[in-house]
Amino acid sequence: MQLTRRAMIKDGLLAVSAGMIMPSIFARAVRAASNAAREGSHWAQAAQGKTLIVVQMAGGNDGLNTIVPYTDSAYYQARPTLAIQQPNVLALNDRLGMHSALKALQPLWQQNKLAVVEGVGYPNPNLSHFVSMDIWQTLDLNGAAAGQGWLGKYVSGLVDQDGHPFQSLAVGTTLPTALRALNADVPVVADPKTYRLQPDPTAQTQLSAAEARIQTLLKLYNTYPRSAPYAALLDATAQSAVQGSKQLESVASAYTPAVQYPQTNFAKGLQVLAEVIAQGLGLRVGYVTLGGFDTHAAQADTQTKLLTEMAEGLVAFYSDLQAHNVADDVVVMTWSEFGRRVEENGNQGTDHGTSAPLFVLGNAVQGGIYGEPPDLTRLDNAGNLVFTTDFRSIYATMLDRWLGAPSAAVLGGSFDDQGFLPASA
Amino acid sequence: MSDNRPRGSSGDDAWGNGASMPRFEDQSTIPLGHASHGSGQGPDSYWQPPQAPQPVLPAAPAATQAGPRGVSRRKVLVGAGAGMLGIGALGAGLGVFLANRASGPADVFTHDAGQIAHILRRAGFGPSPSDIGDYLNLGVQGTIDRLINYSSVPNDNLDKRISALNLDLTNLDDLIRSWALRMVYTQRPLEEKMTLFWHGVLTSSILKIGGKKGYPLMAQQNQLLRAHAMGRFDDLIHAVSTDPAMLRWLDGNRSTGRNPNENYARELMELFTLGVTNSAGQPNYTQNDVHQGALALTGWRIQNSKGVYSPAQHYNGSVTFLGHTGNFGLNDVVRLVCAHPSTGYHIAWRMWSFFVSENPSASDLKPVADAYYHSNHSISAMIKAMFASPAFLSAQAYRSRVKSPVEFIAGAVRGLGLDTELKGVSLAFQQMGQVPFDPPNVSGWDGDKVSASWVSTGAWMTRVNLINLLLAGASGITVKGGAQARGSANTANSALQRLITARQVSTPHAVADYFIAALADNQLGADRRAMLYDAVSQRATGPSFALAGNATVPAASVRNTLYLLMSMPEYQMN
Repeated sequence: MQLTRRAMIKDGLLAVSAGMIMPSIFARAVRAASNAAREGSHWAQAAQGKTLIVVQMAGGNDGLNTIVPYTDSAYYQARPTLAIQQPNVLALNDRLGMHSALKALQPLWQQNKLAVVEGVGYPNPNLSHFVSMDIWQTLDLNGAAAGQGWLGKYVSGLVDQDGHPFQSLAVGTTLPTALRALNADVPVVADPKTYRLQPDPTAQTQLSAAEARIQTLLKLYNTYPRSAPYAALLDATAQSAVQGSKQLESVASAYTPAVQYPQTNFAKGLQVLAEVIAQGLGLRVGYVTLGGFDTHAAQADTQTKLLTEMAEGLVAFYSDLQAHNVADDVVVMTWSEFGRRVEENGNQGTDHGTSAPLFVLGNAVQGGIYGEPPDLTRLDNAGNLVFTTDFRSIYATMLDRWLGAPSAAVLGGSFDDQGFLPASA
Repeated sequence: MSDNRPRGSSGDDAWGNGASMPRFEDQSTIPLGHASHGSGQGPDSYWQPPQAPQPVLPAAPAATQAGPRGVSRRKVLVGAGAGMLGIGALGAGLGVFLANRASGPADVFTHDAGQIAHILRRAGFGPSPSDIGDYLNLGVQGTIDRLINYSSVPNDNLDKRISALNLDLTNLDDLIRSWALRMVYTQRPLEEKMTLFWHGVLTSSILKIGGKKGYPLMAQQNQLLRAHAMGRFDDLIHAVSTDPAMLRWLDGNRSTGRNPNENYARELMELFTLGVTNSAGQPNYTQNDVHQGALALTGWRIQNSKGVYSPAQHYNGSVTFLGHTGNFGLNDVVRLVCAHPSTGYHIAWRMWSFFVSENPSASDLKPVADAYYHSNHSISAMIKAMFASPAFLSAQAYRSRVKSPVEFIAGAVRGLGLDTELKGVSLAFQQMGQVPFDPPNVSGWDGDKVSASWVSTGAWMTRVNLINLLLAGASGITVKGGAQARGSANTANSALQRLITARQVSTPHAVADYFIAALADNQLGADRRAMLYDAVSQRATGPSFALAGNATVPAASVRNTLYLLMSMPEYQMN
């Protein structure tokens, strides 16, 4: 295995981890990543130039009103006020139609670049947002939320890291659980323009003095005693931040968006990802979150607004990538921690549910409907859908067919491929 | 845990008359031994050297505490590096020898000062320059007592400061500033820290309670959390269950007997009281409990910004909730969830993770949970039990949690003694990943539980850039507004000059030493201290600070030193 700087960070972390006070989540992560690093170098070079963008729809998006089973009488019986009537859906086939707020995605569907996977969930569903989010992100079906996220595990297995600080990137200010990686150097960027250390504004600072100050600061991180809690995390974060900011600065003026992005935070986040992709910074995994889907009451307006925001943002992003000739190398997938109760709740809202459809889109995607339709007449004890498609089969498809990593090594088991990407992407 | 670890002073009599005494030559700053973790040694080498036996307090009656108490006779030693690196026992191979320092009004170099600074960071937002001297007079236990019994501490100056600004609570920036200012300038640090704690547990957010009508409701909830912060837990839960912002946030205001809404009932059990599972990993409640609890909680509406009971909306019938059956209403639900055997542990776990250290053991939590059940659910009893635990002042706790953005910003402004209106502070909060009144979701901030969540590359740069701006005395602390400070008078300079003058230091190194003591407990390895000496010794053009004895030091060099000090890992940790 190639010994990289980050590998050394790992080893350093491992060396001091025994018995020190480190939250057990990181102690376990150290072991897991150490194993992954030993076994995993073979997935390093497999997927050059391919990028996965993950869109988290936080709060539990109502799947039944996103991909509407518009011929199913059980749907209309369960939702006297919330059901979307047939004339208002954007038909995908003779059974399913999209919420009209997703109109911006319709051309991608018509061009066969949009896939819908039905009935996605996991066994023994947990109706807690937080347990369910942890299950989706850490693959621990008990939701114990220890260790790395599934994307973090993938990123940790990449060996060719040096020189590519932006092989993964989360938009925002905090690292999503899915990207929690042992290396701890996944960049988190809110705005590329402010992603840098500023010089002393009151001094007549020479450039060299500003740089010397940064180097001293990094040395203070590098020499912080490794046995102190979070020492390795802090050091890796500081080094990654400075390294990444320099790379961003060096290419800053070379990107201009080819389209007008909507004025939403979600779209602005996608634009950050587009910039990094268009600049060829080696992005493999990008992550952006759109929140607010927890629609216990007055759902219709909220969901319409959010789905519009999502669809219009994604289409702007896709068009921008097309214009920069990089769309062939980017696939987007969405997910939400659960769908919502089949029966509406009397407040024109829906309570926590289970399985739901998700979207995959991109030029490489083989558009269509995948998974199996859930049965609205055979619900579980809480009145929720029984899932038909294991969420890990989506991940397996992405890993095996797009990211070039053996899915079993990341997922800890084998899952069926869904057909939304060709076998030899 | 060694239970007999000395705790230092118990009160005003600690120094005889409570007066500050010159204490340099015979005081030690105790190296913080991070080294012994897992080596099988006792964990508590940090606060007291083993060779300096001290009275165990506060059990001993006051009369026996006269004379020297928790004070080592050794010379002032600095440099935890040796201990941290595990290359020797305490006292051997330690760093810089710092005897013969001029004494000043706040003995930030003493051992007790380090303990008190740690306590103030955890039970508040860190010391202001004058805090250390004030709290030193009380001693360690006296400090804890004063922090807990805050209702008797006058806070008039804070109220005057804030009312003078005429803040508009229908404006989001002003709403956030009004609370941030409290954290920075309060004389009751634990009051604000408890309010922040409860805000992270019993969440509501401007995401849903926004706009000119919503923000004042968030301010009202904030005041509710403050008022009930240390009282009986049942009262807090009852109050928050009928709080207008909470009724809207979790849809209680729409829930009726015919159409019960599950939202509040679920989060009340999952997040606010019981937790998902008990200590054996078994679920604490079922989906049916959620549904039946929702029925019992129906009937609350918002009128004139108050939660009022509306019997017509209440479910009138029998429900079975957590194993009990009856025609239940809010009072019954509150009683049952607060008396549940998991609630004391769940809240103790949240408290411990927030105030002491992450991933507490069952034995850590037991005294705190016991205090809850033995005191008829008193929150202050829990806090007292937690602060009395040896673990609170242990090496494991010391610098073990990453400062939250709120702790970082309030602590830095407070620590430098800056006089500011905190304009623009909400943007800094946002870029660091924690906006008060805007928790990311109903479970609050992940960082309150696992503080590593506060660390990200972007958030880290924002922290460093904020320090840069604070030191430049930017008007307000808008992170992106670096340009506005250029060429203007640096108001931070006058604050720093005041501190330097008060300390009567005469050399650049002594300036660095003072700030290392005041801002980093004097706990810094020799190699790292040397880097700060280098920084403070740099020549620079521009204004200078006057030192004692007609010496000067370039302001830019002091700023640079503080930039490094407040950006370095030690300062990121709480």
